[in-house]
Amino acid sequence: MSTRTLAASSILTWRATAWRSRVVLMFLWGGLTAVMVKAFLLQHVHVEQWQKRAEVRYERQRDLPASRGRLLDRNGTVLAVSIPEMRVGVSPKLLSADHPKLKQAADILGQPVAELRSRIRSAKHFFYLASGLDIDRADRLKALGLPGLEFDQEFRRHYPFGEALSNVIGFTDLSDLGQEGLERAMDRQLRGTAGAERVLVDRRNQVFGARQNDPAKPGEDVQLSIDAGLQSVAYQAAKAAMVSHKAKGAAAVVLDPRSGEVLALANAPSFDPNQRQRLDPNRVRNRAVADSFEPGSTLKPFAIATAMDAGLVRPNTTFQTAPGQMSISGRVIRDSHAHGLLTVSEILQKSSNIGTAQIALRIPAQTLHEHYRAAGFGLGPPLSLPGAVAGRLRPWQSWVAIDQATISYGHGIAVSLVQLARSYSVFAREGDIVPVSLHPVSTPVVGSPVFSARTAAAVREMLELATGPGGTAPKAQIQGFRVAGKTGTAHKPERGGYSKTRFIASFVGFVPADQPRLVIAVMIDEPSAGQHYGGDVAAPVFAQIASESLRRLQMSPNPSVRVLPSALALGEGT
Amino acid sequence: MSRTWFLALAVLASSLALVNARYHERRLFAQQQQLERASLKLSSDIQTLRVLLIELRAPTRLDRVAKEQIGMVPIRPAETLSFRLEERP
Repeated sequence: MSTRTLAASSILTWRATAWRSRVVLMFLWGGLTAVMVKAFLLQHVHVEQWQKRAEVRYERQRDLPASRGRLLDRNGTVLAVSIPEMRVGVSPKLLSADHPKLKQAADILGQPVAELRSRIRSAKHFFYLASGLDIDRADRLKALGLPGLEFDQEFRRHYPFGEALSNVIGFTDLSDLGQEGLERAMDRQLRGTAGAERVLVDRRNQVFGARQNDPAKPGEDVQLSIDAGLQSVAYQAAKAAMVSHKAKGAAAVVLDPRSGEVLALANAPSFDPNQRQRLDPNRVRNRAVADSFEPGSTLKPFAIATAMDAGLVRPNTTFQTAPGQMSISGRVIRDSHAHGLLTVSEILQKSSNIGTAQIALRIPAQTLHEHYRAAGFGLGPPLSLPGAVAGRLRPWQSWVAIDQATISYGHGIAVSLVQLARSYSVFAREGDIVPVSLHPVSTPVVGSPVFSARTAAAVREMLELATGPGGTAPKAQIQGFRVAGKTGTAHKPERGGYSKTRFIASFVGFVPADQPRLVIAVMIDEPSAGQHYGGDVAAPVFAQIASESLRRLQMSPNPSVRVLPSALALGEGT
Repeated sequence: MSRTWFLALAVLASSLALVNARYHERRLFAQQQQLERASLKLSSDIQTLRVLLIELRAPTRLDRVAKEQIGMVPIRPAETLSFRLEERP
């Protein structure tokens, strides 16, 4: 081996190339240091920013809807309840319109597959395919494993009593917020608080873990004083009367005069709250609280009781009502026919406008006004329901003689049916009045005095005469029980005067008259099938509601009322 | 040297235990989700059946069925016999 060859060997020249190794080593150390610095920066500097980026990628916030509280009747029967259901949405970027399982999905959803494909093709962003799916269907849909489908839980409100209670309970909207009736009035109590949970999702949008959970708080249940059984009875009777008398509407209120609890609040026409796509406002209105009307003769007992309380008349004081008409301040008021000489009791029994006006004109206007106010007329609505009206009672200072006369028989004053029913509890009780309530009342109620107990008892007897032979409402009688009440037939106001063809027929009374348990008020708006008097149109509805309700309450017929086996065929008469 | 090996083994074991724990966590989460769903479904079924029951026994429906299908009529006081026990001194 020559010296030249040795000189060319790499071994001998390594010193000349050693710097290269050092450079490589330096790069390696540099790279390692960079990795460590980066790791340090990721772990300790800008931590929040990186965590947020990771959360955006893997975490999702899922809303947990809260169940709305139930509405229950006085016996615990469910009147409104929220049932969990599912809503399914789709991300069109993840689900192809040509997916082979789309046909099965369409079958489960009950939609034409062509429509489903077209919706997916035309959509650019996430959209909801269907809502109101029961859990079974949602699970079947999920089992198909279609990419891009997302399922949300929701609650749907159900109303098992349908039309019978819809005007009182109202309904909720798609966001589960109360829109009408008690659903709206008690929205704050019924509505729950939605929760949220942070979940981890994989790239197929499947949840694989949860980070935080703020559970939803369901709304409170609300118990009402309504009795679902009596409500159904009242609704059926009101609806049947509206149909048979071809009326615009009908309403009935049933109160317990001992506590002021509302047991039934029925309206016709009504609507099905489970099918509320096309709602007619005329059917949604709760006529018993939202409509004020001139009550007509149902107001007569109040003028008579005021006069008796003031010592101005007694039940046997007589008044000449012949010849059936009377002129006051140049205006003429009339009776339906001439009655002649009548006692105060007979004035109420035969419903004489002239007799009542003569009594009212003896009372100082202020005294009459004060008693009307004490009975709840012209005050705020007795129930806190949406659309509830206060009625109208003009200040006594603006009354002239004809006003005082007409107001005494229920014209020139407007009341709601609930106000009217409540006011009659004065005669069903010992002359005092109690507030009405839509919630069960468990403590004894103390009433505010309106009339003396003696006056109330005397008027009660007169009201019993009104439903007896010779009275205006014999059709209000029910077998086995004593009934007290008063009819009303009011002309409807129109164009500054009164219509001659449109009427409001009403009847307010209580049963059993000797131990009042129920106050029932009935109003039929514009009966147009021939009859329009309260005694013909509204009194039979009262009798039907009263007899059915007493039977449901399992009240025994009064022993002092003689009940003979009926000669009528079963199913006829009351 | 043996101490280093021991620490390395401990690190390896704890890593495997961590992976295993994460696996079980996900399994348990999936089971919990499944059970919650089953509970939701049962709750939904119970509520639906309760509503159905209330609808079936609603007085308006029973009244119609009793009158139209069975030919029943409401009880009237005239068809009612009342018995009262006399109070004894």
